[in-house]
Amino acid sequence: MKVHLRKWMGKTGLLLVLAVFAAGSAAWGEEFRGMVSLKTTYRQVDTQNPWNKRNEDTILGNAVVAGKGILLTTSDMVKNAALIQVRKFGRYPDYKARLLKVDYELDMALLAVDSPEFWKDLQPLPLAAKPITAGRFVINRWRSNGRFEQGTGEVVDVRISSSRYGSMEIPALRASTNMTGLGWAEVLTVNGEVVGMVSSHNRQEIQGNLSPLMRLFVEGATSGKKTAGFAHRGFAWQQTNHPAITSYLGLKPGSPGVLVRKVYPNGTGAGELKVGDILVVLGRYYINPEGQISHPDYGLVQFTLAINESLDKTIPAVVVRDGQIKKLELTRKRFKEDDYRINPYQFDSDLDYEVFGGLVLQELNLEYLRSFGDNWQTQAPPRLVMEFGLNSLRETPAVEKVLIVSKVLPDESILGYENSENAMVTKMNGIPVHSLQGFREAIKTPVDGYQILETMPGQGRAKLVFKADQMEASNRRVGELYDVPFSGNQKMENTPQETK
Amino acid sequence: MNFHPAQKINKWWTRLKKVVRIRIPRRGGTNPNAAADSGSGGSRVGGLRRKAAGIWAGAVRMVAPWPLWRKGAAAGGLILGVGILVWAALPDSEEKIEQAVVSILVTSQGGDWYSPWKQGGTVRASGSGFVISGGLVMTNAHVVSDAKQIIVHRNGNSNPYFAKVAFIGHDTDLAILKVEDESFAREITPLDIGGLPTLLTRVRTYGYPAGGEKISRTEGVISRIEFNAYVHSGSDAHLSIQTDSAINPGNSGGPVLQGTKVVGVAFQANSRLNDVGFFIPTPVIKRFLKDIQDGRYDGYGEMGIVTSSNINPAYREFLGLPKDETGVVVDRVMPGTSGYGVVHPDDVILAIDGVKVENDGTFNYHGHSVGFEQVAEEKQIGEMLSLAVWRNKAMLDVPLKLATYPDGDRMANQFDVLPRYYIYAGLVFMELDKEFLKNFGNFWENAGKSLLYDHFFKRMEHPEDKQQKTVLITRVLPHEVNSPYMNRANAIVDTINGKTIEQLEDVPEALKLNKKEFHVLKLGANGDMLVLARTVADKANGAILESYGIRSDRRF
Repeated sequence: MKVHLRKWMGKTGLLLVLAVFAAGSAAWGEEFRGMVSLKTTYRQVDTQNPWNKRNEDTILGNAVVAGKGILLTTSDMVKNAALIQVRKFGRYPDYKARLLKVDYELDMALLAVDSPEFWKDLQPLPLAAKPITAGRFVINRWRSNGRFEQGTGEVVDVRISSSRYGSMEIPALRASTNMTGLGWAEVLTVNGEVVGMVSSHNRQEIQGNLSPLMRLFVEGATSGKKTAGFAHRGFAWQQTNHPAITSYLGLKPGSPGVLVRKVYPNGTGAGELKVGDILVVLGRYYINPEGQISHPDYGLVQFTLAINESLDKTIPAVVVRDGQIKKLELTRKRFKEDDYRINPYQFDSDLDYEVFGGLVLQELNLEYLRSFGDNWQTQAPPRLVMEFGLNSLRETPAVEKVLIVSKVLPDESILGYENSENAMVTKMNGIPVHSLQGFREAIKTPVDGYQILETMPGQGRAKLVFKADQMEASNRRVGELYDVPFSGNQKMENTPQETK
Repeated sequence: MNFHPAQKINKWWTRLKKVVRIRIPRRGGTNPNAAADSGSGGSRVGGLRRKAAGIWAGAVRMVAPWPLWRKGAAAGGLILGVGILVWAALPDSEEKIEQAVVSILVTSQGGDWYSPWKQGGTVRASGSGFVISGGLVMTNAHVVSDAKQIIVHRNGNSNPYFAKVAFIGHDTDLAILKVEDESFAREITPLDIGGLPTLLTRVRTYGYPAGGEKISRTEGVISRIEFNAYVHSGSDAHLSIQTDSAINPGNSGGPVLQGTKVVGVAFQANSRLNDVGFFIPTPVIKRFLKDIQDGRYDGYGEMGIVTSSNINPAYREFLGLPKDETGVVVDRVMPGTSGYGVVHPDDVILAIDGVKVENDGTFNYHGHSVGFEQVAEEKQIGEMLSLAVWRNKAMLDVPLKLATYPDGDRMANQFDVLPRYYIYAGLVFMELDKEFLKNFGNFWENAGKSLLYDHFFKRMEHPEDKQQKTVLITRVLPHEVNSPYMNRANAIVDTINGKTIEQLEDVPEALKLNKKEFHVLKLGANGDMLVLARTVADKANGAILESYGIRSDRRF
């Protein structure tokens, strides 16, 4: 009996040890074979002096092998890149990577490496089909010293929010961790599957992308199928969760749906939804009065998640309009550069600008505001910050930007106009102007031999007058004195688009 | 001159943060260092006596060979001269000056702009003042703002004298107190108001600053005379004088003298600069005293003209301005001010009341280069100004009648008034003003961009906008009738039941006139809708007020 007991205990003990080992290996596996370190040398446009680029700098981060011959990382890792290099297993050599696709609103980028040697011994890490919404995960990263490091994090929640750049609403992971120095596309895994990627880190909190969206991004870029891509919501809505508002809208208590209160010129639902519609169904989901859907994977989540569950051209919707139920097929649309009055991402291209006398004019963009420092919300000119916060999206059919005098380079032509920096331009020669293009058109028609620029009240002097026949000499003088290409006002290729 | 904070919000905010009012918050009790200040005046007088003795000895040696009649005449003249000198300038006048300088202890209580139905906490603070003609005490407005009790102490006299505010000008930071006990000013020689001092001349500051209980005197020179922000109101700028005579917390309201004449009232300092204090000069004081002669303080008229320098050759040519002509270009005129519709953008103000204006907008004011607005500053509301204006390539005279600027209150700190509010169904309605924004602390950006834009820029950029005041829901007092609307706090009310809300009084009116089943409130520019069932909300109103201990649903 004793012998049997000993044998039984011995077998059980062995099994226990094996089980623990197996559990451990499930959590701490061979992720390093599916991850590479990334080194990006970038040159950023100096938005304060838009004819200049700042000195090159280098950042180090991570990328995951997301399929055959492709690497997935965050868009932050590749913005303004002059050279992207990858390294596997923390050892030389470095391989040059090619940017296949970048989406700043999703904060994702796909890379290719042409050298077959690079892919040897690397194994793709599967992207989990379902989102992680609770529990612990492993944080994987390559360090600059060539070491592979793992730590853990725990999900705080998943919420629908806009990415750092732009206004697209996507599900984002919020998690806690004790690791430090994150925010460089570290890969999050559970049982060897990728569940997310870190996009930012603040104290003990990280934010990141979730794997279902990453899968969709990779599939959309690599399947070869023509898709509508990721889309924006093109309407404003409000909850109908108060009995009084439900009753006022003619709904039964507890009826599903949210109230459409504004429709933008572009985006999903634009031109199809109407103000006053009760949006009851979007995609496959009923929308509750709080504006949530019951999702099989995410649980109770804001209904706008449904807009980017697939990359189809349309998404079905049901509205109550004038008391009648109406089925709609909403066209999924993405905001283009012209849908923004203030460009939220100004990367990978030279800045367009105009030197006019000693005035440097450019269209306001988020990077310009960010150039006032980490606390740009309080340090940048208040009126410009307000404009970005309140009127970033175009709401008129006509294209409209925010044209500003970003700098004043002292010259005899602008004597007395020195306090016009950061003024918003309203008119040129009596013609309302809202863009550099509009400005360039307007200066072709001086008024009685004068070029007259007007600015928004309260921002420096209201009117700046120049002698039209002296502008060329003035531009040349400023160009030579400050080494500014005075003819450097060609429209460059800008890249708010999805594909590079 | 009233300035619009939005004009230079950045610079001004920085500036206002640096410049502080200088009354002392007090917790009561005596200061153990009180004795440290005594005797400084005595040593100064002693030095002068020694000098006088030396002069006397020299004079005796000089007159020794003179004949007797000549000696007698000289001695008589000398005695008379010295007597006059001693009487007029030294220990006696010093004593008279110090007798006229008083300390003021104030207990104040202002409004609460977060819970507007309540009053704020009480605060004790002290400042200085001085007796002027009629036994009245002049001090700073900020010393006695929101005062519930004012006690005046004479120098060297421990008797408390209760006083009331007779006149107060928050825009000029000046106030006149009337002491209840008529015996207060007996034996005190009132101080006379002098003229505008000149640069680099010496001034003495008297008062009761921190660091002691007894009167303090400091001395310095005048380093600047120019327009400056008056931080008490937070929206006014007037002539002020900068000195290195130490002006510290508690000096507020104390006199600044040259000889025996008051040349200013100490009122603010700059915490970021060393040895810099500011005082209100006599032109501002005299205008204040003239204003109250009719028994009421009316404040300043506001031209509302925003100007720019006129030095750009192309601009001058564009305006057709002769080369030898000087003046300042009008950029814009603020709606609601005296100048609106009278003066126009691109006018050039060549002269004001016959005084030539330079290209940078200054003129020669008693030998100082000061902004042309000073001419208007010295006038009262209702008085006329004559502007020589260059318009459409011709010169013309433009009369301008000075009037108040009602919108100025919205931009200024509020004192001696309680906040206006209206409460319905737990929604607290108030008008957007600077005091409300202060609820968000020093960093107003926490108030949200919508409110800040509305407060600082909207009216300037859209003068045609009818909605001159902004009404907002400042709080939602939780109750089942409003429970899903908790996140509507700080939302701007656009319409109620279809009526555009232009002032607080419109809210109860729009609610009262509606006989439909629902009240519909449209909030903000995005058309956010807040709906209340009318009868349910009406019923809940009283219960909500009672449960939050609110005695009245409104204060208009």
